[in-house]
Amino acid sequence: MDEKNTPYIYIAVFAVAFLVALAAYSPTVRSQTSSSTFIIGYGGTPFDTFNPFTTYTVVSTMSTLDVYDYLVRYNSTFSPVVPDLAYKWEVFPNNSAAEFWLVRNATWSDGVPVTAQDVIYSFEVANNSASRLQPQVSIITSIQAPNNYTVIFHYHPTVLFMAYTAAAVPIVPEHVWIKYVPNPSNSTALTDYQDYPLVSSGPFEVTNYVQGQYIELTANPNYFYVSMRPHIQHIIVQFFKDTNSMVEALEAGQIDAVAPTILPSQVKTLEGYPNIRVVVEPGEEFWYIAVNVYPYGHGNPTLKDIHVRQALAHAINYTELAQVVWQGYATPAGGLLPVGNKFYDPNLTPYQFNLTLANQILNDAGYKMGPNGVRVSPSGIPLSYTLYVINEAPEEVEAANIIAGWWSEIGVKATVDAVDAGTLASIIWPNFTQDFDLWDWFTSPALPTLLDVFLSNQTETGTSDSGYNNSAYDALYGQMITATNYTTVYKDAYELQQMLYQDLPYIMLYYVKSIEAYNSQAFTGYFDNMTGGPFSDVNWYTFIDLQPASSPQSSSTTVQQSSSTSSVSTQSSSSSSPQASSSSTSSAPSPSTTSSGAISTPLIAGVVVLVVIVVLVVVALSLRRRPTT
Amino acid sequence: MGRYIAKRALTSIITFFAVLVLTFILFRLLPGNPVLLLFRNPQLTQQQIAQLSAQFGLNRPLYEQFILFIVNVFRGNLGLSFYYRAPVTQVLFPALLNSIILILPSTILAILIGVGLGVISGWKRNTLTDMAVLSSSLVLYAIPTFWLGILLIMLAVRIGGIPVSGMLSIGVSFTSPTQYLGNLLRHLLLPMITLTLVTLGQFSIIMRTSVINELTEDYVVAAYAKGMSESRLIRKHVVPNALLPTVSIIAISIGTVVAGAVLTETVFSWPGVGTLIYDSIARRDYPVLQGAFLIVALSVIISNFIADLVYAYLDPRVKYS
Repeated sequence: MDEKNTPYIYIAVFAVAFLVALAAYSPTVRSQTSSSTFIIGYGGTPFDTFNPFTTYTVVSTMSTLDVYDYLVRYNSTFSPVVPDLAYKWEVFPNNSAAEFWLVRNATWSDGVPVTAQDVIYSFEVANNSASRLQPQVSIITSIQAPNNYTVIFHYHPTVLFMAYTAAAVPIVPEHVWIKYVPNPSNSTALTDYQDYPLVSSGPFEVTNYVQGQYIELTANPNYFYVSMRPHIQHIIVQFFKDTNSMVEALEAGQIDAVAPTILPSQVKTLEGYPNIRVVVEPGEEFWYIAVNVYPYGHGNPTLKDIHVRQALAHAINYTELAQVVWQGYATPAGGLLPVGNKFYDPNLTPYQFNLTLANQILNDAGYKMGPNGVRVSPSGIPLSYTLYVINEAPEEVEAANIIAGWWSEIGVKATVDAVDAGTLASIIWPNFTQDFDLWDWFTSPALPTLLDVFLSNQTETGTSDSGYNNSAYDALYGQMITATNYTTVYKDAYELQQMLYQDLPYIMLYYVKSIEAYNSQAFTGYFDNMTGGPFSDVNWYTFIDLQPASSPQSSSTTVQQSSSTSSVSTQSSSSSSPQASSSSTSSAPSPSTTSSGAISTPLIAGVVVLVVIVVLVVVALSLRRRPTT
Repeated sequence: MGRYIAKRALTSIITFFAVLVLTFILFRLLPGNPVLLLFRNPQLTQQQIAQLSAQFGLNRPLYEQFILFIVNVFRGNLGLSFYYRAPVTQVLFPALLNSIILILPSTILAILIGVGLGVISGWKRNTLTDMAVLSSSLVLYAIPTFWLGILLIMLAVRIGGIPVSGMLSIGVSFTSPTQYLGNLLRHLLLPMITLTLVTLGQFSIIMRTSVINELTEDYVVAAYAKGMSESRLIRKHVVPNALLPTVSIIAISIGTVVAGAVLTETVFSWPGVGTLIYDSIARRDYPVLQGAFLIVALSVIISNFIADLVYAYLDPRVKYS
């Protein structure tokens, strides 16, 4: 054996084997022009599934907003008035039935026409017990299709049907889904169905998805509303694990935008780039401290005294907190629903920061200062608590510590404990052994339905973390969602928020703004002015409006609110339809989702195993030359 | 020899079963119900939650879940991921493969460089070279991966042209496999450098100690006295013997190649198994965790088994009994 050169030969063999393995991993080779490809980096909760009825992630909803069609869509102020599959509709005067007329030239991406049967099937699947949309469609009593292009819904009376139900259910192809979910109410079948490859009818199609890496959307050239056909050929949603490297990639020009939000500290670095624009809009997220007020709970009983909760609320400087923790990219909170929500109540302002007043309230209520600086209740219980905070958000742990500092000045001892969501959930439900938890909610800007977190029956479902129990509140909520005019809905939503504001099951901290950034020189047409910013899970405008900056058709028709007439009117709010295309019906079916990712797993596995064996042999052989003893 | 292998194999199988039981129990000791965690949705009804629990088999008694898990493992069925609502194999294997692409070459590079530096350092002990190697090894060993990664990214952005995230330039057309390969290798560059740098320290430090030990052996002195050249002495006698203790470490390193490298994968958004495991812990996605740990354990056990055999073959002092 020529001992001198062998190690190098082994290394060479390994290198070749490695390259062969990589080449075997080669995906499909496709051609496209990269100038019409828009890449958006996404650094939030990872993608779960395309199935719109079982997904719980923002990235799934955001990526498919323009992939599925709905009966109607929200406009930018969240009124359900933009025609989609239904070009016209009428709500009956008693607010318990609605009729929808469907466009006749809509086709699925496999060429099959979209009909009323698809709509009925979709609403039936939405009513599956495994569907996240079930509560929204449970108000429906019957659905009929007098013909292929008309659908009539009957439901329990409510004015919210259009916003809460009709605009929420994506329409999926029955002829495809029936193979996987033959019985729309079979929950196992629905949970197991991933809806990929995906047959859709919207302005974009999903043409590729690689787990952990990206989703690729391609424009649907036959979309039935000509005015809503995309100007851009491909949109790619690339998943990032770390927002710092995502922002670096935007600076380096490797991606064109960042979502769902970046950190205030990252805004500064982006300001130095003239081609990058940072957009700050009201967000969908808020942070709060839930107080354990559950009548049957096991937290510190002093928290059931409203005076204690009032004192605590007055002992937080909300403005300073938002400034320190979010560097101003958060708004001090009053009512439950955040600034960008349709039902935000501007009359509820944050509790005034006043330590003297807070001390006064506790003195008056008989909480005497103990020898160690911690007050004691009249029955001898010290005001000493544990403040749990979610450890995934380091800035909120900081906020909790700052709050504990203020509270110590009124004789309240709060020990901050950062735990993960699973641990926190097991502390709260079902026994309510916590005192406080500092946590967040995301809520749709179109609806007031997050108020249902405080219903008495929500303590068992693991959503009410305060254990609030108020029959007057429950009754008023029921009245709100069955109201038959918007004036009542607004009035009740405000009243419910006022009850929470006074009873303080939540000490509201701040509404977080959405901070997004994009390359404003390479592309134009971003739709900024919407809660959640240009790339939220409710902004369906941006992807359709986007176009390369050098595009000749700069004056093309963009899809802004195509009809914003009478957003509150309940009677026959049928709207002018965008001009429908006549050419699309004859078009050939576009084969969606060709066999992309043609990676043969056994092949790669084989090659990899081979490489490992080669390496082990190398090690063994090179060690063999031991001196004989 | 046959008996030795059989004995080693038996030990490995017992270890594997112990791991099987442990993975099942450990993750269920974590507080928190995956259904409540995944679906923190104010709209869910009590009935829907019960339904989801039933579907994931979470309402069954633990021993029943365990038996089902064992039976399914031997059928090659790792279950359904709670989070992705997809078969675990389908979630796990692409991530596994991506991790191997990154970690295997980095580990081998780290071993080669680390062992080489260790030999030099041990050979020239107490010189300036030794100090330089030893201190830089220690620094690299102690450096936070995140910090090094971000530093390299910032450097790459200033230089330009080097991709800082992902495995491939998405949305770019590849006309040939070579072009594709070039693109992948460019993406591999930064994470590979990071991973190699942060892991090579351990190899060089261990190798240095072991070389120094060998150099004080009598046979080395004897060979030196007989007039053997220093470089030949090191190459022929010292290094092969000094490598012996390193074999076990190399075996473990090769075994954990499939475990992913959480920090490096996170910084460079590499879609590997390390971040998948990390995310799955937060989501209490038991099936994915069980599957991942099973595969990690299996590969560590197998590579240790092989290392045992290699060791016995290399070192005549290990008895085949």
